[in-house]
Amino acid sequence: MAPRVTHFKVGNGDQTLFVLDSGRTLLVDCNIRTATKDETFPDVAAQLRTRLKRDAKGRPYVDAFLLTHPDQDHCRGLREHFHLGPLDEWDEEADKIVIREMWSSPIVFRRASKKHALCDDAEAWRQEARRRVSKFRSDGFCSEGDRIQIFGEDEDGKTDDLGAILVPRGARFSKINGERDTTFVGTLIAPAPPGDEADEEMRSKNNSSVIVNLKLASGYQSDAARYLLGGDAEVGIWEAIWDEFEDNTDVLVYDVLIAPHHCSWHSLSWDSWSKKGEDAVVSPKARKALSQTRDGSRIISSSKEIRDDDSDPPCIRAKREYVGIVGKANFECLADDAGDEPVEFDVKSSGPARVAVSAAAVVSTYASSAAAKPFSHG
Amino acid sequence: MPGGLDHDLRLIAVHPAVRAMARTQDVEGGVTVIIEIDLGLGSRFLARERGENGVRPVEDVTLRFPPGYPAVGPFVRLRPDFKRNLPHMLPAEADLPPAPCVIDGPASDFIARRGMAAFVDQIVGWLNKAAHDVLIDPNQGWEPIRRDHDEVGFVADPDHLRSLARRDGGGHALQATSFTLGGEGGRFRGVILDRPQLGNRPLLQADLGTGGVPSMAVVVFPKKASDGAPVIHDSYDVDAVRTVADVFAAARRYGSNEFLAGQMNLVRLRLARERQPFLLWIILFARRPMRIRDQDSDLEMIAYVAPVQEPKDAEEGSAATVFPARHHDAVTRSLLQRMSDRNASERPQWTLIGAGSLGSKMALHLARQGDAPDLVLDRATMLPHNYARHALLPAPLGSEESGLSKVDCAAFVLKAELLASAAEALGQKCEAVLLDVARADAERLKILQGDGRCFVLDATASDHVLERLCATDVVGARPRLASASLLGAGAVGRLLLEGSGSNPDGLEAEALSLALIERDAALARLATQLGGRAVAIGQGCVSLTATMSDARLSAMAAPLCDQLTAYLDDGLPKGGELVLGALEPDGLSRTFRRLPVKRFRRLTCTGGLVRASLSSDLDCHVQGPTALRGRMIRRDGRLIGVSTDPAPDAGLAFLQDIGWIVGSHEEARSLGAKADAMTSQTGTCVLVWREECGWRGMLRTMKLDGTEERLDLVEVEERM
Repeated sequence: MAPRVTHFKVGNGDQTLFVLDSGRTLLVDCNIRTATKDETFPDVAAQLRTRLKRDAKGRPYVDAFLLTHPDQDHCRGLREHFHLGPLDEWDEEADKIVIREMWSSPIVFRRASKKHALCDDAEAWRQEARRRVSKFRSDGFCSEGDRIQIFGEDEDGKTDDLGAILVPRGARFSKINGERDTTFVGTLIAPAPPGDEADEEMRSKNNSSVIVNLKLASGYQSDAARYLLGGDAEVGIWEAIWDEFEDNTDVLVYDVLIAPHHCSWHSLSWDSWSKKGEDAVVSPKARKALSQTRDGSRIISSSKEIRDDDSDPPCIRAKREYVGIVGKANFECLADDAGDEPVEFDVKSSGPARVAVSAAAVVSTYASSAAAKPFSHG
Repeated sequence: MPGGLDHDLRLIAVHPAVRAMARTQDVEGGVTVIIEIDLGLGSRFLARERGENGVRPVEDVTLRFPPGYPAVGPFVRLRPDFKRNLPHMLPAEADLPPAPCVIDGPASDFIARRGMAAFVDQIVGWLNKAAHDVLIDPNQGWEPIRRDHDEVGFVADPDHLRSLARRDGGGHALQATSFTLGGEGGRFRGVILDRPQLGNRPLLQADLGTGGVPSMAVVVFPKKASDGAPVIHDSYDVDAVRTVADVFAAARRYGSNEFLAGQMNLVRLRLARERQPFLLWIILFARRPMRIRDQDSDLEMIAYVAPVQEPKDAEEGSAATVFPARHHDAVTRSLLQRMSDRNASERPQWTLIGAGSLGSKMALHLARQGDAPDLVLDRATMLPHNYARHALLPAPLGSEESGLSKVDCAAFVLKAELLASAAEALGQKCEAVLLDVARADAERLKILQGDGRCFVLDATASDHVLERLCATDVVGARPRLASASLLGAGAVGRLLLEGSGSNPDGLEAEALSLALIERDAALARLATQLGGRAVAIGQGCVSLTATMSDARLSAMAAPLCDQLTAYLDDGLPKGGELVLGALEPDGLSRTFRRLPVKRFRRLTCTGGLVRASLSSDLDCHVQGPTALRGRMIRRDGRLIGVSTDPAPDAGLAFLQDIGWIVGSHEEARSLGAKADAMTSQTGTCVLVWREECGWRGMLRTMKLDGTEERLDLVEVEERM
């Protein structure tokens, strides 16, 4: 089966599952909402589970879970649906998803503060990450279910002793769940270590987002598709990235960009869309950083429906900029796709290809005659 | 409208990749549909509106359903300007649109088995591979060259031909046999020989040939390039060779033209010397960048045949016509292994004793999977009545010379030789030896020794053969013994395997199996209800045999062969083993049980004249009240007993029960008379008993009239 990327319809939030050509799975963020009397949502938890394998003990698992940043719309449902704690405490009845390896920003080393207020799920992530880091520090290694990689260095040398589990900014990485995987190469673009207080202020919250470019292999094509994931990074971060990578744009090239911050105007401009409207000015640097396309590149907005009003995110003006980059046919808002099923792409050697409804699903509802018959021999 | 087509057309229309479907009625009664297939190409190909090989994101595909559908599958055609020289395309006339090869085998079978949606999936998959230029999949292997013209068939051993290649290429002239099928104007067929001949010898020519044609073959391999690297031809071609000159051009591409020129010189010399036309088989090998599909080599065999009449026909620029030739594997061990889903690894050898109906069946079952016995021992000749159940058919041995019918000729030939010949025809070495094992001395039976032999299979069902094979002077000088036999006219099948160190040995395993059968009333009834019958087979001649159908014999023999296959693949278990099969009351089902056999306790009197083997193993395999069973094998006074008593001294109770005296020394003497009843035919009896210091025994030699001749106290050695 070809590698596949699944974009779940989680409203203004992110939840993307990568099934690599090796078969390993990487989940980027989750936003598993609970239905209320007044509001229902696609059952993304169930959709996720059907796409995951189970280990020899029957535990569903992801090989890695990347939390781009600890906002609720990126980690909602973590405590309810994912097993946190040592693997031997996994409960069969609860049947939660095992995170074999966490990929986390260094936010886990920050103390809670007004600037870094964490929701309960984010706090749970932080505690689990700290447990795993502590285990690494005490044992010098981590086993499955205890593994973690820290994406980016933290301030004050807090990550200097992490060695094997630290991915420095700018580094390429191919390890997942403790093993090198030849079917993907990631490049860590952000977060940068915080500098002075003003810088710290700018880089808090959304701007502490992990930004990675994932190069995915398909069959014999090692560079079949590139995904640029930017969390909720805003314009200042993208400008800084352009300043740094202007002469090395390859790290920004993508086939699929998940529009930062759910198609927020703040990722493209310092101006307020609601206040300035059409007078708002797009940042040329941020736009360039987000414009490194290949033939047929797509931009996906993981957001609510994009209305032509002053709401943000998602923002109609941001959509217009993105359409300008990839063309109308290649911009897609997940909320515009009919039905509750996620939007999926097979990664072919010619790039990501939208997956139609499976033939098996159509046939099984249409006719039973297609059931496979045992091969007979005479 | 062909039956069921409406339903299948609806399935096509709702297939996720099908954008549109247009349908027309054929004038010939079939139905043609043109479907637009969205290939779901990746983003970069969509942006270019082209994949590799000019494949479009949405392709028109024509499906023609003939009037005979669904018995005859649909024909699949691409647009007329679709690239033609791609792998995995069907041979097609130039004026017809190209046809993809979307499945192996008939489309009708595929659709019947997997459904129409899966058939469309195959088309979508093929087009996707073409668009991504991966129709040749390294995991599957290099697709052999396509011929759009009729081919002439020939048979050769590819492994042998490839073994002729030197590191720097080379060429060879080989012997070939050609013949025509279909009489005058029929098509040539050929056999390329010059191999360590096992199969395919005159049998093929005699059977198939309706007119031998003088022939020879040349085989050439690619050279190395000037930098020492092998010459690899990595572009996929459609074969356009029509003349000898074209063959030279192809050889140049493959890097073998120098060697071809050398071999063609020999051809010209022969034509000049003999002045007789002949068929020239030309086999070019091309080295590909990966292994050839379904083969283990990167050397692809590309063959032609040319009727050559004079020396100039073999010159480099010759316009003499050549025909493409399609190779078929000769009957070889590796071919049989592939067909039997067995890997090509070497396996241990085994030897067959008894080339009768059961032995021949088992030998040929195994030979057809590449595991023929390396040695067959038998004492008998084939007689016409044997063909009722023997695996071999009457064969044409020397029939042309003698003028006798095939059946006549096949009679009076040694069974072992016939079976060995059959194994050789299946590409495997097999030696036949005329030997009466029951009477053979130990020196003669050393023929059974062999380092690579896994086991000796005794399929004679003869007590005498079994006893001889288990005699002390033979048992240590042969591989482990397996014995196969049928009871109750094929209603019960047995496979007995000795344990390591021949404990249990064949006789002990036989005794246990009989005890088990006796304990199982239904099994005992099956085993004994039909015995041997005397069947008239000629004037004053009868055959004492168990009469049964060939089918019944084969049905029991085949599972026993599966067990032997497991021994060859996995090695023998350490202990002994019984496999018991029984026909179920429905007359169709057969139930098999595999039972491990514990080692027997053995008591041997001084001098080795008398041995007793005891086992409580019966307890492991039967349920019910305690009872004692035993068997005495009446050769050299040997006793073999089995008992249901699991106690350590089970053998004592057993011996008491059957009258072999056990108890104190005095009791033994006083019970001497009772022992007489168990005196063996050889006039020897053993009395064994247990004292505190261990086992003791008494050897009593009797006259044949029953009077006592001698009574000796003997030491009894106990061993496991």
